[in-house]
Amino acid sequence: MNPTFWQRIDGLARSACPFTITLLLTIFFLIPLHIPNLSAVVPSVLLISVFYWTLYRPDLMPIWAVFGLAFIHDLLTGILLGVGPFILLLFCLALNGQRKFLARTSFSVLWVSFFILSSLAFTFKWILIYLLEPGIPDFRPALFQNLTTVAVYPAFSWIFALIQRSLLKS
Amino acid sequence: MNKRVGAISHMTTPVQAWLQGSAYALLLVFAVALIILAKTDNIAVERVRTAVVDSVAPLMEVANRPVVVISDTIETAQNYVALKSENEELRRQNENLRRWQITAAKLQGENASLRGMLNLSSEINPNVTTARIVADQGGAFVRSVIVNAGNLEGITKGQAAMTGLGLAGRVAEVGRHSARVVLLTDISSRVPVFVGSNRSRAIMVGDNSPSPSLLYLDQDAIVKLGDTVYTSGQGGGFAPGLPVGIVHSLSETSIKIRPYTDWDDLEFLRLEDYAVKQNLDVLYPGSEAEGLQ
Repeated sequence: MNPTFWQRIDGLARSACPFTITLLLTIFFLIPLHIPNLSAVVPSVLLISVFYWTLYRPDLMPIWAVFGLAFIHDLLTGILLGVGPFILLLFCLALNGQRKFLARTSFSVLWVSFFILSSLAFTFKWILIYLLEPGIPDFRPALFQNLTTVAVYPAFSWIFALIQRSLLKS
Repeated sequence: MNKRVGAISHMTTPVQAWLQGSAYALLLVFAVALIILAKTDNIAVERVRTAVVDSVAPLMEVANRPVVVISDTIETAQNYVALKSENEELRRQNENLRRWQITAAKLQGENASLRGMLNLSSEINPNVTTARIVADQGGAFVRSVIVNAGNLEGITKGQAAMTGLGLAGRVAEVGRHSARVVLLTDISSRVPVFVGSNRSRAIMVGDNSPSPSLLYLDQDAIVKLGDTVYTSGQGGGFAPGLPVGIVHSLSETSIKIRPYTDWDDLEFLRLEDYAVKQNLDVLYPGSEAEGLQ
């Protein structure tokens, strides 16, 4: 067949990498691991992935993709639909404001920035759930999920960098 | 391959910036619209949700298999290590349970004769389906699980989800091969219950923590630590008498319940159909009844 056609398919597959990987990770992170107390504090790999790709390859993680991923995550987890996309869009908006600075900064500054943005995202999400659902939601799971997410950030950041180097830079 | 779309990654022109800004605004408005639709229990939201869960559930089930093999192996190894001490513990429990068995048999006979005297209708035996949990890690803001049985296996909305120890939740959405069970601990969970031997009425309310609390308790109710909590069946949501948990903390402001269900060890759920759906159809006719399908 036409080689340019296959090149185009190859290019498309590579371009779809960040979205596909994030989608698969989001689904696999819902699977029960039978580890006590993990289900409430399982790291939000969606947040890490969106942070990484929006920062380094925003062309491959456009906001409609962010919206789509958060939408699917909401549908699968059973949370009130729309809360995830709303918070993640605000997260990206804040991130884009600082993108030029963050893309060039050291890893430790980046990690701290992720901690700040992630904490804000979890806080706003808690407030939104508090406003929309009856009763006061327990704040501790949100606090610990934020901490686990920040804790695993370097590992996932390293994996994504590996993917970026091997698949997206050739 | 080098047709990278990298060029659009840098916002260079005001037009692109404007487009990006308006895309944000549009999607934010769309997200708010989704929240409103979901909050008003729009049937379309439920249909989309069940369709997506249904299509992803087989993938989850396949991905779940290695996890099950590993956790079963670990459990077997742990069982071998703890064999002797567990044996002793089980012997002790067995003796205790034998005493209870005698008491239960006596009470069962007494209950049957009293029911006979009052000419009460016999209790309904539920249709039971056991399903495996294929997704449970929803994060900090929701307590629900997906099970691998749907309306093709006879699951309907409103069924009680039980573990061997007690009530765990309620079937909230049903797809063809999958269903979502909202757990008792979820912030949206409301279960009418009886507390203690004097059957004080209350509503058990989840808050995403492992211990739901009691609200709207009868004014003259006396609640003690260790009182048992079981479903009252009021409102038609659940069959009466399903074991829920015990009162484990009392304070001026709240009464906390520790459910019998072990949240860390949820692997299977028994979905029991007490035919309360018909009650819900009577209570919420029209669109609600349609939504129960």
